[in-house]
Amino acid sequence: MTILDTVLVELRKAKGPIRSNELASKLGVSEPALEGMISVLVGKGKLAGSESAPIEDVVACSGIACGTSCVGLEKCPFIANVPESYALVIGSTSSP
Amino acid sequence: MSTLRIDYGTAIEESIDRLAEQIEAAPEIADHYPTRWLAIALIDGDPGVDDQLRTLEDGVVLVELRDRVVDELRVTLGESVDTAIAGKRFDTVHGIASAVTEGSNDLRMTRTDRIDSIVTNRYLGIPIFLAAMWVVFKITTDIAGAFLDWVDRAIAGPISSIVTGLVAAVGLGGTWVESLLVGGVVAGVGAILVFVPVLISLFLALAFLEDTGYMARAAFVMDRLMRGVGLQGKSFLPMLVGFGCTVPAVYATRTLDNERDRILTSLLTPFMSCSARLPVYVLMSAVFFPAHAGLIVFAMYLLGIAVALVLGLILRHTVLPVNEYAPTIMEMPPYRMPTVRSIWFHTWVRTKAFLEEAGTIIFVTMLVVWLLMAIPVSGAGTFADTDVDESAFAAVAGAVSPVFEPAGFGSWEATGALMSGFVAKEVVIGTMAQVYGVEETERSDPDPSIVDSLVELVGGLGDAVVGAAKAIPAMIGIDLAGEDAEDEPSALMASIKSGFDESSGGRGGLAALAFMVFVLLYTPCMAAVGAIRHEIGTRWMWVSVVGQTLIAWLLAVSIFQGGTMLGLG
Repeated sequence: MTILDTVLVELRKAKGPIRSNELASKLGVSEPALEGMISVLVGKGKLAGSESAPIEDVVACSGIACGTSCVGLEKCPFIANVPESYALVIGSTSSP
Repeated sequence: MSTLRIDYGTAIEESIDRLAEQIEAAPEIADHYPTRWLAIALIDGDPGVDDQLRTLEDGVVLVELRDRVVDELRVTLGESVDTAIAGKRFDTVHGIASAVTEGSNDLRMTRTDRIDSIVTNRYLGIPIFLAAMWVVFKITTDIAGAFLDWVDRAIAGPISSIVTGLVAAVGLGGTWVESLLVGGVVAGVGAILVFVPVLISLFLALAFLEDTGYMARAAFVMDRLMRGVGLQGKSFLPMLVGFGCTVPAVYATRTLDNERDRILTSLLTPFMSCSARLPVYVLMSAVFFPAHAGLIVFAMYLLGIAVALVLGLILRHTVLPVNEYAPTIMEMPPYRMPTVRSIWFHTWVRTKAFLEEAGTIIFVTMLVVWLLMAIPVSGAGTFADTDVDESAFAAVAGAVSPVFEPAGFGSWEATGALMSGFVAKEVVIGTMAQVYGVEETERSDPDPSIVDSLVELVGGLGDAVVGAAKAIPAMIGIDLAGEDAEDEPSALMASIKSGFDESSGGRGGLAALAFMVFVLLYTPCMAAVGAIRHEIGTRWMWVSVVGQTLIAWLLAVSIFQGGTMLGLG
């Protein structure tokens, strides 16, 4: 089992969200190293990154919320900075 | 210099050897590429290599062999071959790094890791999140309270006087124009602007939490809670946005992977209490529960989350069943000390959005409410000179008000405020100021000069700063305010209290609580309805509007009737 498999196995074992720094600690690697692994796993379709969500396609809501000051999702002042997340792609295979 | 050769394991190494044999048998390929490198690139699925080889006769044969080899490997390894190759490379790098570096994982634990082990702890995470939010609302209601009083007095006093003076100066004093400007615009829009200090406090506190990196941890903690009740953890991210404004929160549901999750989250997000509802809680708490205003506001936010969770659980197991949710890795930003500039920037852009809305849709709605209140439908009044009880607004609201009698706020005034609140929640306060506060602009000193008014305005600001400073130690139990702490309620507040006491048979506090719960749970605004329709369709939009109103009514009635049975209020 490679270390990439271990990432997926640890993720499955967590049965919920796991912090990247906690996972890096479990694997005994640095966070930048884990980021590299996550990037490869996203590229291989094993993980889905939240950054791939089509936010950029969201139309300016001022068109829909006619008459309000809403300036659209991208420029909306109420959008909070939420953490980047990567979900395990259900159905993707990995060696045990 | 020695060359590092990665051992990819028996199965992959055998496949590399098979391809290497074929490569060496084709001189036009072998002469141009290192054999082992090319074999690995082929197995790894390097698209550049594929494209070049397909232009060569021997290359096509090589690619066909590669396809067969990879199919066999996939069966042998039980996973995709490129992942296995990448894994072996990471193993090699990890092995080298471990061999040439010293120190255990414990030594690598940073300050961020140590703080995270507490604030995202399975058992401590939720209580810490709740405590943080309680402090936010305590700051919002206590510290902002002093400025709120100042703005309130400024609008009811000096600003109204200045407007009245200017109208009189152009010869329109005592006409419907004065009524429109003072009773409609200043009372309506002004009542909403009164809450700008409250919102600034909220936005400051939230910006501080965001910039320190704590909000990312809150999202993590809530993610775990939501999964605990069977909802997708990622659903909390749009909901987090919903605490600011429901409209972008509904659009943010696009980040969810499947349609059922998007529908479910779009239906639940409006239950998160947006910043526009905050002024209603603050005003009603100040009128009915002045000693526990922070706690009441905090309870409203918690109730919104609780209703969303329970409803989500019900929908998840009935009409919107969803499959297994995927485990998630969340990247936590390091903790950092926020800068004043960054916090102020976040606070300003959010406050500006609120002010812009006050100047557009709320302004127009206030004019419409004033117009309806100026049109007499009974009695002997004339346009802009009629008893509000006999106005078109009172007639329409009065026709609907019996619906709210079981909830204790079945008066036309409260009903009218809720009806106009469909446009935007800020309008609820503006309408209440118009319908309850008609007497408030009457002053003991009817004709102060503009200079006197400005002096009063500046003097009041000084008092507000002192009041806010005294509120900080009061939050931890040190009372510096002394006898000054008990402020006299404004005429508007007294009028609201008397109105709710009357409609509820003397149980004004209970009716006010039911009213706040209704405001929390019914449709946030027309813009949110438009966003929901845009994202999940007209059918679900109606489910949202009708469902929310029904839930709001049921809970409001339950609170009032339940409290009455228990002898509360």
